[in-house]
Amino acid sequence: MSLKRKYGLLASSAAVALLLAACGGDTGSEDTDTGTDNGGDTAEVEDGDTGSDIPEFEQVVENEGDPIDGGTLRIAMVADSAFPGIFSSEFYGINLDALLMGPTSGSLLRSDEEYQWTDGAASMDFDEDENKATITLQEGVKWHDGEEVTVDDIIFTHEIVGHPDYTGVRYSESLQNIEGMEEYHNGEADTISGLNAVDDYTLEIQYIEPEGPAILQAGGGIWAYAAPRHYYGDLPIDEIESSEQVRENPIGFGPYKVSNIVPGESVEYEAFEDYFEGAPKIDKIIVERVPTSGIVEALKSGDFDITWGMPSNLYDSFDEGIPGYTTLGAPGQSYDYLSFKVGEWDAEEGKNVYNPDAKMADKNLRQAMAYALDIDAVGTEFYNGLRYRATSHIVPNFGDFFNPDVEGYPHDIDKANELLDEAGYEDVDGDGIREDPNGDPLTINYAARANSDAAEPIALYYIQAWKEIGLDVQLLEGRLHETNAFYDRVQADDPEIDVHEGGWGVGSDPTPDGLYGETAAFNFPRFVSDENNAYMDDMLSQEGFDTDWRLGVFHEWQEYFMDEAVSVPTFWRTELQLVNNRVSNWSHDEVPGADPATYGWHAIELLADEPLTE
Amino acid sequence: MWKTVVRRLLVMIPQIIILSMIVFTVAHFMPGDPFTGQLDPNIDPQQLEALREAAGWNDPLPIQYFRWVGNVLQGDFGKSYAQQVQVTTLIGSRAANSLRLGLMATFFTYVIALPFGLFAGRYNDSWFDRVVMVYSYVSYAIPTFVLALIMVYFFGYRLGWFPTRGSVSSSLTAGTGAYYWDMFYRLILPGFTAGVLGTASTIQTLRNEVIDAKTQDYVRTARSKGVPEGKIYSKHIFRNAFLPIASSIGFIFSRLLNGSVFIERIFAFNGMGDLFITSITSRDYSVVITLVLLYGVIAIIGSLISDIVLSLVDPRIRID
Repeated sequence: MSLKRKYGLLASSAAVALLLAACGGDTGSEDTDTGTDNGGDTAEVEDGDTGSDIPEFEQVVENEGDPIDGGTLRIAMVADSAFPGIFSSEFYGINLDALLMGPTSGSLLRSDEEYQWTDGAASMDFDEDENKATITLQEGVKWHDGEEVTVDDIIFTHEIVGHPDYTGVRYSESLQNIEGMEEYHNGEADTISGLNAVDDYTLEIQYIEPEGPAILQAGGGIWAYAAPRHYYGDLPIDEIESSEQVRENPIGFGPYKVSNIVPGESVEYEAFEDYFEGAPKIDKIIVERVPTSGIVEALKSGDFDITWGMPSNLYDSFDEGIPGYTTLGAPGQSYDYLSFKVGEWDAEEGKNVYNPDAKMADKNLRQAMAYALDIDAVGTEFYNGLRYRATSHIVPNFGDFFNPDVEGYPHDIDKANELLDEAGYEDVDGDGIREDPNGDPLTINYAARANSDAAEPIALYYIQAWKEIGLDVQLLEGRLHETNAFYDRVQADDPEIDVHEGGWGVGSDPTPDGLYGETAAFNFPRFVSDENNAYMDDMLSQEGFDTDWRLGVFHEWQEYFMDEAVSVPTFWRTELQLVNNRVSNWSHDEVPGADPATYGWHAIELLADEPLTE
Repeated sequence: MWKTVVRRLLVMIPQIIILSMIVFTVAHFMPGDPFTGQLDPNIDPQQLEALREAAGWNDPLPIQYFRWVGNVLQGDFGKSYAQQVQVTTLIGSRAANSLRLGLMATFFTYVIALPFGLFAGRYNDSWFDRVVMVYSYVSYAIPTFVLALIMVYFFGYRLGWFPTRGSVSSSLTAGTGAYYWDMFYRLILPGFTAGVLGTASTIQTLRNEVIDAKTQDYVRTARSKGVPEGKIYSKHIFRNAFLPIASSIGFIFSRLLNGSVFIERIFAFNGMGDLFITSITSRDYSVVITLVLLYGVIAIIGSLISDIVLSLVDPRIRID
């Protein structure tokens, strides 16, 4: 056998791999994009009565019937790749693992309708005068091995995340703001002096810098987890996440305990009789990973009760509903956007610097580009109406934080032309393409990710729509870009990129300083203004403990930031979840603040022996 | 011959060193790193930078390479960034699955291809031959994912004969008879699918060899001696027709561990193919590098095995 053949084999398998990597795309956490299969042959989007094709869904379902005794709840986790299976709040990486921890890990604190902390196994008070948080644990909350959850377990989770050998990504700014955390992190102290155990059930957390109202927000600063110190024993911190205690036999204090894990494929849970809110009514839960290609058939055969991560691009194949199931829909915690580069990141100073002479620095130009796009039509054409035009950087799930009065940029070509004329972008040489206010040719480079089948036709449509208002916009290097390469260049402020699209998952804290603040590395437009800084300071200031005042700041900022149009939100998404009609109650996973007494894992029941198929 | 084997093994060393350098360099030239995808406003970018520094990605490439080689020589292939386990553990768990699936696929390939190829050759231009030809064209032309989806749809959901997902049920205890039976049962459908896809070339080779051999002198001699027709085929023709198949054994060996992304994804089967692709998209350097090296080594060893096997079954061939 010749050498040529050997390496031929190697090279061809590598080539296939690269090809697949290029089409498969996106494993990043910035947002998981599931585009549609609506053909790539046309960039034409019809005008017309937009918005009327947006399907509407219920967010909760309550089924009638006599509950059976026990039973097994079957959950389909729709994913084409294996889940890592890191059962630890300190170490897990991707959302699949967070979902798997749902029934088992247990919540010290829960979030309410607006993602503010509310009571779970513990309650939390923040004293703004003392700059101190107090966590009070209920008595009698048990780990799955029978030991009681104590304050020491909460201290332990802080010690893991702050440890010099910690290998995860959750050592955040507000954790660093705990007294004595930095000394502990640098290895100068064995304990964290700001964590004070008053007794077995009461923990005081002392902060250095004054914490603003964001601390009341889930994900806003309180590290509301517990790690079983007795169970991990003497494991070195950097070995915890690969240990048997996390990967094979994890424990928590939630209503179900993990009884078996088939790595990357399925997880089985058993009811935990000593759960602090009462014994669960269903005996067993089985979560099985189902490939995208098989999920609709599996549901039609009645294999599952609940879906996690139902891809919206399959909606075509079940828009009439699947017999036996209720299709729930809720807005996701994410948005897509267009971002205009108007500055640069100064790495030495660690802040963004606005450039008033940037190509995209003219507000009229940016607004015109936003008005030129018929986002609603793109949503119905390419996403079956499951994506629709966003009107704010704060998603509507944030309740009162969201300003419903901002109109955003509906499709309006006349307005777009007017704005450009006004700003002096005129067609001087009569070729149908506008020149810049100095009369020099203007070419704008647009970068987009190759993350779904719909990405290319949408990018082509945008470019065509911009041409209609006389702007010469070119697709960066004439093609779409692989997601990692794309973000690399966007983050590095590649001068070739003037405009790009993107997506953000927004988590559970509405405060936008991490995305649009002066020192935010993720502020991709690199936009800074005194006014914007003032808004950010106000949102974070202690005055904000006056909720009405803070909400007012949020509302004003949304109006201001939308008007600046350095980042224009394009789409919000409807996330789908299918629930079998034998499940007594279910609230869509994306809906915050569902009442645990009705919709909690321990409270739901089954109304039939097998999933219903009619 | 042993001299040759030793020499070939020695030549492997520089081959692997060069391969490792290329792979290491190219892997790090991929845009982004394992943290690029983790754009999350709730994660402190400084924390990511600290992790990058700790992982040593800010050092010059040659320094990173030699540090990596040092670790590898001590048996430490590093940790997967995405899965946070030792690369060897991770690959080990996936390799076991892929190996089982590979063996099952190979089994089906030969169960189908041997009789089809041999008899299509013996009775060439008969109706049987024509059916086999059509079958082999179709099985060669059909894309993997199309066949896999048809199989899942038809045998899995419509007929309900086979489970369609995963390598083993979560409800069974490892080590019991039921557990191994379930494992085996779940291999049949994906194994058959992969097996069918591999049959065309074997069928064609065998058929051609048999047709060729029919007109050879030694066959004519046997016939003129009055050897019964059945014996001519079983003792003379088929044996010779197997030679090219024997020589491809090394290839089969190297294919066993590769896995197939399509089959694995459609059957939700946790194998090497899926691991390879996800580690490339997530820039999981340590896994990508180890896998490519592993495939390289297996390919080199596979070709050596082929040569050895060939010299054993065919005394006319000598490797020196």
